[in-house]
Amino acid sequence: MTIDLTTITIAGARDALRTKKYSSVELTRAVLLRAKEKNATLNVYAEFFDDAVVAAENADRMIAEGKDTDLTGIPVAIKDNMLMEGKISASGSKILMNHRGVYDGTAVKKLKDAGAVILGRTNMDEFAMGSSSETCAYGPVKNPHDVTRVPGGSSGGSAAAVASVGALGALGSDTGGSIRQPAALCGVVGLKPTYGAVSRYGLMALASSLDQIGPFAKTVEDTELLFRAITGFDLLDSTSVPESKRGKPTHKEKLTIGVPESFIAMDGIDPDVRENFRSIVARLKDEGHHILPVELPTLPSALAVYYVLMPAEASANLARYDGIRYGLSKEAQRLIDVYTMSRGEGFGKEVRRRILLGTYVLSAGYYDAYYNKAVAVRRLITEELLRAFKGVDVIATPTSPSPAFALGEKTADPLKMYLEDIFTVPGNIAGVPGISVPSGTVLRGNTALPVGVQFMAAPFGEDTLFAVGRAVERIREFSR
Amino acid sequence: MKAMLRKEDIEHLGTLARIGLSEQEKTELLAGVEAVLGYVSNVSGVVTDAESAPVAGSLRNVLREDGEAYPGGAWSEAILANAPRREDDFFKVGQIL
Repeated sequence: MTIDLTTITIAGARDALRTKKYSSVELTRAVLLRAKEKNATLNVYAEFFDDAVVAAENADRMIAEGKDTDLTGIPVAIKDNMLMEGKISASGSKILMNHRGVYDGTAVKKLKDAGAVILGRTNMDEFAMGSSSETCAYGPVKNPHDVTRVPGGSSGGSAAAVASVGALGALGSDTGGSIRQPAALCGVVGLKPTYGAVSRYGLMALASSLDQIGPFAKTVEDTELLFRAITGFDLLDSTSVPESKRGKPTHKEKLTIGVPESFIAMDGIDPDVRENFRSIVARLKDEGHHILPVELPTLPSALAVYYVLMPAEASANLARYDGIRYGLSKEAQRLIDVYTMSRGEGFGKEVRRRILLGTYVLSAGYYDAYYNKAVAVRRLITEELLRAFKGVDVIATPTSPSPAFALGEKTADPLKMYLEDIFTVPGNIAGVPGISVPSGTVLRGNTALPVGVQFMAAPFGEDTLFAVGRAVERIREFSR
Repeated sequence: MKAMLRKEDIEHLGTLARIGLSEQEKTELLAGVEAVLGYVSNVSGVVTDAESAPVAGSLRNVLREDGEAYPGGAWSEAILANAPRREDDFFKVGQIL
């Protein structure tokens, strides 16, 4: 039978699989076919796995035996920075192009155990450093809504895979916005869970105090299904938070939504994006939710804090890529030359820039002025946000300051690129969860480009984010 | 706080970070690193007090229970399969000094 992929969701496919409307093998073949067709122009996947159909056969068996979960038989994609046993994971870098995972990362393993079918690994900015997926060693990813534009990043491949129905869901990682921003630019839902909610075991570290794995999907419901499957305490990640310390979800019919007015009024925010955001907030108010202006004066400093802490942590984390145990390795007589030559050739320009920045802010004489100061400001921002959540359930902002930009538009100026993360970085700095939900489109010429609204909540407030996300979906459904 | 960097500083950072850089890259990186440092210097303008002094993060040590230790060599072959150069069950490295 032919499967209609245009409106397909994970929840819908799960029901169809359970009622035997089609099998996982049929679904997997259909989605793979579409993904491969699209890949020629979009460059979403670095690699398709040839054992996907075998995984689908196993899933069909699980369903036949009544051992299925919500994700059994569902074709998903995984960002190229998560380890999978026996598979290459390159983190979009030349230095790891021949590197094979020795084990499954926890989030991947949980998806596999749930019966999800992993179609392949998706392209990304090298080592997740970027907001456009242009620094990928496998070439840039294109936005499915306009192939002359970027999909956002760094998890651009995962976002574009879901947007182009080259997968029904995907995993990404988010250090400063790398799930939420591409979700917004590709018109899908993306969740950065609370720091400690999802195990990072098997995720290649960028900045360990900020990194978090999260899902992409077409709908909030699907995003929630993926999140439920990957969250949980894991002894193998020392930052994983035990279930007993996560608090109980609260359910409210009407939410109090905080809007940081002066943050949103800042220069550099696209007027169309701002207008779209205001109209969504107004509609939420019409639906009976309470809108409350909040003052978060330190929030605009979050981006500067981020660009001290992230390079500092990255410079330490990426020290392991030295050409000795895996990856690209240049031959040289002296060991030190193996290091400098392998890293000099293996790392791309942006990665080198950030490692040097991190090395600088951590060096004697500058450590106090940059790193220690940033850590202190981080604490202020965190306290400010946590205080705000005593008065509001969620804080709303646009997800990104502009819609998808043209390929090459921001590659020459790192600061321009970094500003893409202005609204998403605070969530990582404070470790709170954030979700990006499609909020409509803005016009560029004749092309309608998707934009997103972001909501942040108190730690482990993912349920509140799903509730407000569904409210936005209902509004948009109604206005169609 | 304005960071004034010279090309030699970039070269030194490259040495510290074990990244070999060409002359052209040094010039390119100089501009990029300096621009970002200028931007992040904004953090110095935020007033922080003793209360917000840097503290060690929320990391805690995690110890495995005694008992099921990995059997010796169980993962060696899979790990060494990634080795650029190996000799028997060892990673092979060049001369250190």
